[in-house]
Amino acid sequence: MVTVDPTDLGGGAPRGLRIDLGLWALLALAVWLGLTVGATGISVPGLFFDWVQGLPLSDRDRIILMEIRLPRPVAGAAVGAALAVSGALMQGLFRNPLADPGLVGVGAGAGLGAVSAIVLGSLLPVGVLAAVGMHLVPLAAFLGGWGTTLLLYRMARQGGQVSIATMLLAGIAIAALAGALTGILIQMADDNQLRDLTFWGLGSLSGIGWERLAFALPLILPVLLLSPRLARGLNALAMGEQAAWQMGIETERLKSLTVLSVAAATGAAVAISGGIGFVGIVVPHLLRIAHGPDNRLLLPRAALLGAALLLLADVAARSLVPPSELAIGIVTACLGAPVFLWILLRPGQGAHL
Amino acid sequence: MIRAEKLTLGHGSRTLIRALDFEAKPGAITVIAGPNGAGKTTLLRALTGESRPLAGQVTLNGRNLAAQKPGHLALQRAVLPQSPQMAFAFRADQVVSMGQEAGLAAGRRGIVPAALARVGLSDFGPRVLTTMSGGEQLRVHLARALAQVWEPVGPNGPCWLLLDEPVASLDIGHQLQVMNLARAFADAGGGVIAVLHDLNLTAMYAGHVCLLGKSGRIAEGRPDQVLTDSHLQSAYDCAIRVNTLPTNGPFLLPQVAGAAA
Repeated sequence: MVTVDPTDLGGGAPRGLRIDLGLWALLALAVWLGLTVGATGISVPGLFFDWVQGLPLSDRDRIILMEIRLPRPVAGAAVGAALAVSGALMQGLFRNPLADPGLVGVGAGAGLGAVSAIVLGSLLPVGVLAAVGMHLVPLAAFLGGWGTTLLLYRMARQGGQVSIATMLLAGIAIAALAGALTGILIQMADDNQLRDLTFWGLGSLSGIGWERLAFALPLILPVLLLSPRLARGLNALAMGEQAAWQMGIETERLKSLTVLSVAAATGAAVAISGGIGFVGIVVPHLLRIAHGPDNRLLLPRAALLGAALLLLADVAARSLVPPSELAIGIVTACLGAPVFLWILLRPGQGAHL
Repeated sequence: MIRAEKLTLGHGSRTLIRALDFEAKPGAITVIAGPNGAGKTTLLRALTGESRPLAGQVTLNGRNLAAQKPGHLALQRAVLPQSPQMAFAFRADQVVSMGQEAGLAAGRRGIVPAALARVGLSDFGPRVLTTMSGGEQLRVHLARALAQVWEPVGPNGPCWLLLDEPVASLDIGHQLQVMNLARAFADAGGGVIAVLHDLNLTAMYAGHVCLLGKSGRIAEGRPDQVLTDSHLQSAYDCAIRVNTLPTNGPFLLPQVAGAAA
């Protein structure tokens, strides 16, 4: 996982290895819990051993396992990893530990897209509705998030250079505008639509099947796999764009790749799961405390920890109020916010930012 | 050799430097001096390849800067900015290793501690940069630049150190330490271009001085040719008396300088 010279980097090899092993173990535990905890009274381990011994599964068990239980941890891991890695990328790009993908309009744009689909979806021609079916909301959310980010990127790009400051400020304006448009749609919505869009905003991993994953994974996985290649550039960017360029980094290319990666990964994650907060800020922050700010370690580990924590949050969301389930956004905010405050208010935290 | 021909530089519609010819040879320290706003940093930024000239061109070891990628330029020259920045809690040794990874010595062992030792910060490797004093941070960044051009002469010619006011925030002991490092780099065959405000250090260390004024270059040449009463008076708009030591060349005292009438 980690292929960097231990003499030049945080903590030495044994500690780095311990962190990596710990993260993989946590992810394995989270996947196991994600598969086994649930409202239907079947024993997933029992099914697994049956399957290993070549015993045939009943149709009911196969459907529960393959269509309900399995997609959910896959989706949770993908969404958690995408949000955490996007957060780390944004923080590197904006050179600020509090940056998150919301700064480039993904959240506001995706929200506008989703609400448009919920409120105005029935106005679409029947042929389109039939073709898109139940995937209309995620599709619209993705297009909204991705489109907003591209718009911001175009606005901030002048004379071949992307101004990060312009992007930040234009992002605030665009988010306000998207919020206003969303407000208009909310005023037009009926009671059922209001309920749908409120729940969309809280986030959930329920109802994500293989079709939606087939759409989201091709956008998320390449970003997870390729983001470590941006790490050296993002490290140098901590010294400012000028210094990074002088150290051989093609800064314009770095900025474009970072913004486009975040738009793809977060756009896809938000599209299938709705609004899930705090993962993108808390996960990179915890890791920086553990091993320092080196992005070569941070980006791969953020994927692991983000995946594990979101899966655990989903397990909590499903088991706290049975047989119903909490929206996962509520769980991540309830757990994430106090943890975040604790990190911020610890004595001597300044050195870790 | 870094050479600029008919270089015109400016921001937007404002021209700071017009049709300047500039040359720096390896083996000596070339100092760019002049009053605030004369365009010293602008000139240095053009020499790093970072800002494109409005007219003219800059060549580094005979090749046009504009035609080279930043990764290729980073193998031939390192830059110490005027006020280095740092976000996040990177350690001093991580910062220096970032410089090393950008240069020809990438992957070689032992360079990071050696570079920190050269700037007198051997024990500071594990310290977080943003918790160090301003002068210490600047010396870590100098170590980072040294690690990037660790061998003063590379396989394709001399390497270059470009320093923008490297001693402005240092005490006199560290000023001399940094200037001695720059001279050692030049003595070993590398090239050094430094923007300096301190005319005494310029006189002590420079092999070649380019004195810029508000309206272009005032003089260029050896320190004893450039640092004269009349040149300095027209550059800085105040009365300056230059004295000369028999062994160390020109020096000047602010006590005997008078503000312009």
